[in-house]
Amino acid sequence: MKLPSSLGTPQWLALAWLLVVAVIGWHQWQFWQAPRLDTDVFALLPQDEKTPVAQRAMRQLGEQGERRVVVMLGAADWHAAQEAAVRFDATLAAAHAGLRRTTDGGVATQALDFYRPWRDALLTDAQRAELHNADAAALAAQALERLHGLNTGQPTAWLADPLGLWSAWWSQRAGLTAARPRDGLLWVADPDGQRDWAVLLYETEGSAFRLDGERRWGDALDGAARAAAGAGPVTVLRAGVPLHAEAGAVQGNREMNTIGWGSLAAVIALVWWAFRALRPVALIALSLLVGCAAALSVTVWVFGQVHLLTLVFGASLVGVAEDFGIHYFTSRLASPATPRWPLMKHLLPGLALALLTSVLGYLVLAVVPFPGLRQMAVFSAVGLVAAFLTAVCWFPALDRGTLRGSRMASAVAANLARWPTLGGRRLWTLLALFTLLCAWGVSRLHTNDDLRQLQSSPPELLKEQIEVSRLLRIPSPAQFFVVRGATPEAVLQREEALKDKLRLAAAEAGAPALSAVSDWVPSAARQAENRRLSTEAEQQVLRKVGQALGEDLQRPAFNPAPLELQAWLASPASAAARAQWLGQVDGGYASAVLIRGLANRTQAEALHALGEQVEGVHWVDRASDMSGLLGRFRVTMGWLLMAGHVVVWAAMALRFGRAAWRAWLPTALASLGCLAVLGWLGEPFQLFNLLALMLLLGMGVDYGIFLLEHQGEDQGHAWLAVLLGAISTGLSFGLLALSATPALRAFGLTLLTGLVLVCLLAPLFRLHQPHHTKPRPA
Amino acid sequence: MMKRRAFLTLLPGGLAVVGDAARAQTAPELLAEVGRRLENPAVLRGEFEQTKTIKGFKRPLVSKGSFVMAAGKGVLWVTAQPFASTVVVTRERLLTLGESGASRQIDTRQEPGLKAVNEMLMALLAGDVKALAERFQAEGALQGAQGWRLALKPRDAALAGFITRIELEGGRHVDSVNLHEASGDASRIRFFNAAASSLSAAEAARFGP
Repeated sequence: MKLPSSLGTPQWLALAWLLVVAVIGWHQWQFWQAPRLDTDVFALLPQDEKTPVAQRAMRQLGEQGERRVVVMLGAADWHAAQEAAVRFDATLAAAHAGLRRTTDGGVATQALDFYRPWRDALLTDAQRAELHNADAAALAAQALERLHGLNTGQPTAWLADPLGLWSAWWSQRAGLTAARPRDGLLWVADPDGQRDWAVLLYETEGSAFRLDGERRWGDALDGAARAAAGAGPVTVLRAGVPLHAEAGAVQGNREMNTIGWGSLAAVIALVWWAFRALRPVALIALSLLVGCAAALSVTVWVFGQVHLLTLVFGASLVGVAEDFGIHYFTSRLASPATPRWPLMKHLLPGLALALLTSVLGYLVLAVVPFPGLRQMAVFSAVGLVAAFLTAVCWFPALDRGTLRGSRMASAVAANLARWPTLGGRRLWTLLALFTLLCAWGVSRLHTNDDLRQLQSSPPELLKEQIEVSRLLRIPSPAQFFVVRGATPEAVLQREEALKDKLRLAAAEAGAPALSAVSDWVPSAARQAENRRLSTEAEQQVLRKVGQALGEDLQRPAFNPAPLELQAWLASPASAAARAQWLGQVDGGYASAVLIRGLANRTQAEALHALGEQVEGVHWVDRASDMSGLLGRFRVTMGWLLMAGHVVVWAAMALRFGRAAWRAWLPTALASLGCLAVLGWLGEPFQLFNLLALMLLLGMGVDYGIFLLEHQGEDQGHAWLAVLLGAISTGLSFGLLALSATPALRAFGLTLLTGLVLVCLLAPLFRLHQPHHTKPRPA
Repeated sequence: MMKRRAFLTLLPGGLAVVGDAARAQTAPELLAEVGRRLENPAVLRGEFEQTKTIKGFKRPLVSKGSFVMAAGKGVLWVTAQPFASTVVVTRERLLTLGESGASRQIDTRQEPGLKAVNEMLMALLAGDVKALAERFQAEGALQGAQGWRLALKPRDAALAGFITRIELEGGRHVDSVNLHEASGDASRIRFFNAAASSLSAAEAARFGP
């Protein structure tokens, strides 16, 4: 056991590590000056390798609204709603919370001016049908009536639109949103009831989100809502990406603090309880600090920024990375006379193997192409390595003096002897019973790959968001068509074919409607058709009206060239739909056709089927794509987990020979037990449970390894280390189970259950006969 | 048949035209006094002469007919010359009955902008000063013991894109309305022989349930 080549830590090792830590410290100091924290839940979602166009559409459509906050105030009548809106806006403005009221004033007039030269090329579908079989005399009579009738106004000169066609085209464009301007506000009538809604639009100010865990916007909006409700019953609805981002940041900050500080407190308490000395507490805290700092620095260096959920997950690292330090100090208790560096060298193979399995366990998370999971994996793996290196390089040098240990610690260490070991019939009976119980639990398992596992927004906010989307008829953000073609003209023509198909299929009210770029810029072919129809009809009407009134009426000239997509994209008139044009994709062009008023699954399926019938049209359902992806990864990870178990066993067989199963079996049984618990509780089995089991494999076998590494009298102290490590790790993941993000909760709960089971099972399989020589590698 | 749509619907989707929500104070005493001078009967009946000046036309277009204004219900606009037609304006719909007997109807619940137009038309013809003041900035003067004159400018940027100015003149009833459109077209409607009256059953049926 004692093989000292030198008695102290090699100084170069400690100094080299000091240099690395200094660099990390410098980077940390820089990072916290302006932390680049990411809170967008979508950043966590996998890049779907199969559909880059859908990905692009999602991103482009998302960016459009990433700064916008919508507030709706509902009251029994318009006056009350209007007054509430005025009070709301005044209160919010006074709060200076970084929300600016947006006024698009003038855009409507600009849009009118932009389209005016092409008025003759813009017709609604109904108008096109009517003009196809129109009777010129009837049209002329109607025009005469209109000329002499009550004036309801029109947006062009009469001569430029004698049939009053353009208003209808515009009102169809206006129909893309339910909101209508009224008294300087936007107004929506509740389709269900007598309620009137006033709509206020805001934009977040400043170039970057200041998401530091403060609830600035949310609080300011709450305050304004209270002020608005002052006079009477007013319902306030809030929606917008910034609000979700802020809620996520607030929640993430809280959870990170709970988990991080909670775990740290637990580790400190445990270490103090076991050693009754300040030195172990200080050194283990130091290794954790270095570990977390290095983890953060490397993550930022690799990914450019760090996601808040990574930090939440990473906070649980505190409960994992302390293992090395604890193991070292318990070994000091076991053999107080051994000099520190030789002791460390003696521990090194076991610690390194434990580190390797844990790091592998974390790195397998990175196999799944979830950017979020990759960050978490890198963060945790780097943190573990840094904590390990801190313990190895510094502890022997910094740990001076003797360590007495507490009586409690000795009692626990001694207690292991009384823990039964299993062999022969008893072992197999118990195993069979356990397996039977587990099989029953596993048989009740059901899977769930719903994307909502990743959703952590407060339910209240989600409810309001859905209500706002319904009232304003905001298109579904996750289900839409992507239309592709060789040229922009081909894309526009296919969009029109799709719209025609839908119009023929579903004429009833309440059916979903499409909004497409071709609503704003019809294909050149359609423009030519419209132009032919309107020119023919209007010239006849002008001649007949002129004859009737004795006037010489001349139709003004329109722009002879068709309205070009590029001109539209460059003008303010495209503000509402610009994001739907996806531009050049894979040598062709593409656009997104959005769906408004999609109420249920049946409608979505019908639309999907309809889209299949038009060439170049692809149905996109991001939610189900993602769920499918999660499902595929769940299956892949299932196989990987099994492969992982085999690999771990093989790795241990190299060191422990035929005894390897003793280190492996507790983890395997505990994994089975976790699945069974899910089955018993009726909890769904999902990708994140599986990922937790992967990590459990990495950490659980450590405990088996520690118990096998140490035989005889120091086995008790290895047990103490295992117990301390498992309790702190379990606590950390137990705290993770408090997270509001279902995926993290599932992860935390599975690990907590698994760790408890491993701790209960591992001592049963230890080699109980006292050995004084360790098993050597085969 | 072409549907006739109203100008207030003229808004590109998603482009919110949002102006100043706070209503500037207009001469409230003037409006209150005009409101007092107007008789505002439940049913007002009379005749009208409308003169439209339209760009590209050498001569103004003149039409004549009668009207019935039922407070809270709507307006019946019966053109007799040069073409017979009837327009029924209510909050809920705009119904046009042509010479040929063909009718066109637009439901304002499907065309929310039209609701605002109809309300404005009804307010204009009825001299509903309070309703007008919500949509327009008013200035004007009282004339003598009975008369008054108001000039209205739209508060809404969208509305201002079509109507630049409306002038109203009257005494116990509205005597004339001058409507100036942004396109340069204008219409002047003069009212005659306006008097309180009651609705016939046929007329009441026109306004619907």
